[in-house]
Amino acid sequence: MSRFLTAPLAALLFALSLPATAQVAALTGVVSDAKGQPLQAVSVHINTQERRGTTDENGRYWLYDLSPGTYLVRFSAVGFAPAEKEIDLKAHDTTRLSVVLQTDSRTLHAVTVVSRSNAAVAREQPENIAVIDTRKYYNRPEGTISLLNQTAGIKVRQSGGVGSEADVYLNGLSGKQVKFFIDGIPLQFMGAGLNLNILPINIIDRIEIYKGVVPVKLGADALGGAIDIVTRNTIKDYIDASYSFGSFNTHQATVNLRKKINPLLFASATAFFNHSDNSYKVDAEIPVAGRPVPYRARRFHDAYTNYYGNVKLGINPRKWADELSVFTALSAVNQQIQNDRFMRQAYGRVTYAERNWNNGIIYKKSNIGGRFSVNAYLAQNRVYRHYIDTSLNTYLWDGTAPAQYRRSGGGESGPLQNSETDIVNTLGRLNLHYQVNENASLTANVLASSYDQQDNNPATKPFPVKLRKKVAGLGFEQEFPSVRLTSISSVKYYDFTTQGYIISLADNTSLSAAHAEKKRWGISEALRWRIRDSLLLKASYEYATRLPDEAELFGIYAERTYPNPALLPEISHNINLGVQYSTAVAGAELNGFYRRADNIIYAPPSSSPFFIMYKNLLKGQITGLDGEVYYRIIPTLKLTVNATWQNYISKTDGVDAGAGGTNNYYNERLPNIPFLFSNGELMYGKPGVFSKRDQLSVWYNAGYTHWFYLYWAKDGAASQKLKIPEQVAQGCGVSYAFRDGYAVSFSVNNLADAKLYDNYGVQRPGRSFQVKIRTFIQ
Amino acid sequence: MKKRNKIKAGLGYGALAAALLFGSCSKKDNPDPSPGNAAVKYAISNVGGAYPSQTTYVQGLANLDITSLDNKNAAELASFSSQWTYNEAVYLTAFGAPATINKYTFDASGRAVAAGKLIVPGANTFSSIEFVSNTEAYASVGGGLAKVIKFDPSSLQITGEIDLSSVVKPDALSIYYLGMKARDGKLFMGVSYFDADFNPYDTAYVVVIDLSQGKVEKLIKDERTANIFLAGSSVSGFALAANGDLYIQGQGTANAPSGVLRIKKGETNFDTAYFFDLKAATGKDCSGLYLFDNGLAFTAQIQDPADAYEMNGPNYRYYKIDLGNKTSSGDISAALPNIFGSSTSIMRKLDDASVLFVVSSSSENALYSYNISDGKVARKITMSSGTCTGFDKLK
Repeated sequence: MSRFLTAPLAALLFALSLPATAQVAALTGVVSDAKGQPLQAVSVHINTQERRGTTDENGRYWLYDLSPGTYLVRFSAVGFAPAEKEIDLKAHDTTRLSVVLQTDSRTLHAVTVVSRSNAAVAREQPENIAVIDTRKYYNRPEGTISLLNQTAGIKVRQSGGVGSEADVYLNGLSGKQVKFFIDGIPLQFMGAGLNLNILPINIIDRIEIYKGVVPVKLGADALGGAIDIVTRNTIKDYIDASYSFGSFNTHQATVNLRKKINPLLFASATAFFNHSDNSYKVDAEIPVAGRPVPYRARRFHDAYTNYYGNVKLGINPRKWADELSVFTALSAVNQQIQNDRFMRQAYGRVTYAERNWNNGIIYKKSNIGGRFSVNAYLAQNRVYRHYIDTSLNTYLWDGTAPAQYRRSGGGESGPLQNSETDIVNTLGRLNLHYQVNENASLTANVLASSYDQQDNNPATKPFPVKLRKKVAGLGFEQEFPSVRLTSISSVKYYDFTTQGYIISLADNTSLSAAHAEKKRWGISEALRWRIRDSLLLKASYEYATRLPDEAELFGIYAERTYPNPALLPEISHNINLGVQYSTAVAGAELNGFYRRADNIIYAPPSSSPFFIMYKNLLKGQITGLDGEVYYRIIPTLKLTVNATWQNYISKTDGVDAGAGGTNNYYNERLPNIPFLFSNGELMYGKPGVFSKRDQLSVWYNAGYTHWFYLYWAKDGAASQKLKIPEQVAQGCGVSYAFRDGYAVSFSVNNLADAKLYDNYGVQRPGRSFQVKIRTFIQ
Repeated sequence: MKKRNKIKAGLGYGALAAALLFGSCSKKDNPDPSPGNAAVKYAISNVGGAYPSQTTYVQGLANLDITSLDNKNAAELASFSSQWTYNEAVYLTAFGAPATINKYTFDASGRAVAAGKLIVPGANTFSSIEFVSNTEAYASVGGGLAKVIKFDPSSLQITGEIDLSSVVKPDALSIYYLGMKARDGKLFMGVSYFDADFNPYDTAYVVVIDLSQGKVEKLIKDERTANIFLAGSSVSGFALAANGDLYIQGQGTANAPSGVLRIKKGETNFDTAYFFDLKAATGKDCSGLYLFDNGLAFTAQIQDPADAYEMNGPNYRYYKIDLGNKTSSGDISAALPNIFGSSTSIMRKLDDASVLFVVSSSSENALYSYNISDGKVARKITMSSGTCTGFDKLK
């Protein structure tokens, strides 16, 4: 590990040794577009001083160590008409200058170019990052999961329709190894009401996907990367509302608004609602004298409903704060559960409900003294979970519950349960940014969380589960303009302490208090070499850590998942190498990745009727390539294609692998994981069809997943191997945006009505239709 | 978000070997039973693969004149399954609701050929099968369905049910209907009751079913041991002696030792004059009962009593016992490694001279032979593709 530490630490020490220059005068401000959206990567140039800067993700820029005097400042960005302003800089003062850039009417496709100004620049960060600019999908009835699934290096496996469990594979790692954030706050903290699988894109500005190497600003204990949902952030009043409806009684509504109440205060609100009966048809079996007979069943107990509402009240930007706001958010999920994980046994009464009430405060201030920024978040989320499985009926796929199958005990999905759990989650994040000089900056981030769980089980009630986690990071970014090289070096610190209970293995009954704590360090380094404006090379490395979560540490008593407070964190060496080429007409990106993970937490099958238990058992290695190309065939027609190949092999020795001490599976590819998949989209965008500012969009997309084995390739007769078959999912749609802020769209999912499986035996919806209407008023 | 319908379906029936997790859809089956192939004399199944993907493989063998066996010729099943055989067919009971029996015969190459499927919704698995004739068999189910399924093993169709509601105890959180043995028109089936804290009752229960009437005759109990919890596929708990006496092994609890009870031929009650306290005879609790000709019998002794379900590795050793004298001859071989005896401790008579048994450990998976005349053990077949969980000689 020492060789990995050497380079970033040397860079850090070098940077810290740089002498600070006395500030004479400073200039700062925000650059936004006509709709009030902050613009990132706008070039800010004071010609006579040969000073340059660019705006950050909030549209903010700063130039310091300036000589007093009167100057002309020029603002320029691709797709916008340049703007120039004259300013008078005074000694020992910070001058504020904010501007609004107008779309360049000479470039008809400015909207597309504008959208890249945030997303494309983020994409050029030294880390291996993919960015989805969701703004171009606002008029489309797409979901967040759908967009993620079309991204190179990502495969999402869903277990059903709207609201169903979604497992995101990011360069091969998945599940808890990939962390999700919303504006830098862990999505898990927000509860099920704000989950990725139901998040409407209309509240999102962009999605940043960090593959393997995660910036310190996210405070993530992520083994395989992180996905940050960056929500919309405008400084002007607006309302954006949409409603879509479609097959299987699916309804989705979203409202976003922001209003400046008076010079001091503003209010904003975000709300959305999702409902679907998920009543699509599947091929199932029902028994006749015990013999299974094929039956085309309509899913009858799979309804999903959730709502989310967030109201924020804040103070308009002041000298001492860019934002100071308080918020309260309510969310809920009501979910029917239709079947077991392999869609073999129907359920008719199993339900899950969750309520969340999240309250918090946000403080942001950039450019304190010309160099220092602070971003703080403190919130508490109260969670209530209720799982009900109390019916003795056994349901068949035709929806009936014949008396002959009525049970005398046990639930439909496992033990009889009516379990209620109360959880109090508290989370604080402090992000500090310090601009050392024009080419160097330091970022420090601390994310601390506490988890307190209390359930209604008399056995576990005396032993409430508490979990305290801290993830701290220090990152140093240094640009070397002479060689067009950018380096980000970081150090991370992980810490958790837990308190709960263990269950005696001797009698499987006695509970006693347990306590554990662990600490770990991690490092990362990311380099970007801008060979030309259009050509980048990237390399990055992270020694990553994932801390075990509460379910792994303390199990789920009612489900007989036993505690194991002795679990160690998972660790992984993640390496990326990439090249990017982009012009206005075409672009390409190719990334190679390597992961070597250890201490992977897994609950092996147990011979016990009483428990399973998570252990640190597995090791794995992933190598792969993902790439994307786009080509603007004609100005209105763009083709995008990406592909991913990954090879996840076992590095677990025979004992830990449960293979009887043999190493038969060492270096073998893990089964039941997609290893080759691809996506493509053909997008036609025609402005001014009926009116000058209208916009017509037509799209077609397709996703391909190569077949893969359910179990290890080397086992079993070749002719009798079980496979997840090759999948081709197609979709298409059309949208039309009117100049007065309204848009309507129509889309078809699973165009060919193909039988789609993400998981073995678990059928996904067939062909479906969706209509969406949207209005945006500013 | 909590998704509770993941693993729990696999819980509550763990003693059925490693039949947990990873249940799934079955392959397309052939509803027309195929005739067996006389060339295939043995059916063998194993749990193959490594974490996190393991499942059961089954194949037929013409003979055992081999030193190693892989599963390259084996049929891959969609979930962990227990093996039962009758005549020339193998019946694999898959884990995961609905309870499923997949029937296979073998072609000349030993390849398993699907020959039908039987399902019972609401039950997690078939825990045990007892064959009476070509057209009559009984299967106990796990998962709360209080009945025994009567079916025709030839056509694989349900032909009746035996209601077990009379043996349900309302205060029991879980009830497991497990191993069975048919004798003299009666079916003897182990029943295990668990309280709200997942503790087994401190009593051994066996339900006696009158097969001619298809009804429960009575529930008999004995407090000298407890927890009749072995299903019989990969760990046997019922043994029928040549004279017709039925021996049943209780796992024991914290308050009752593991031991062997007897129901004498012609009787339907436990023999009050007979109890073999395995804990006292061997020094520790035991699991499993294998009885061969001339009173030759074996069990598997638990080494660390605090780890009966082997979270910390293999924890059982084979012990030779004498059911008649109620004594133990001790460990059959100190050279053998500890085995995963909570999952599999199969012993089958190979011929007049030897018994074949499974060694499943951290360091090897193999079939060993036990020489009846001198008690020597020797590795016979190395299982290179996983743990043997089913081995039967086909008739």
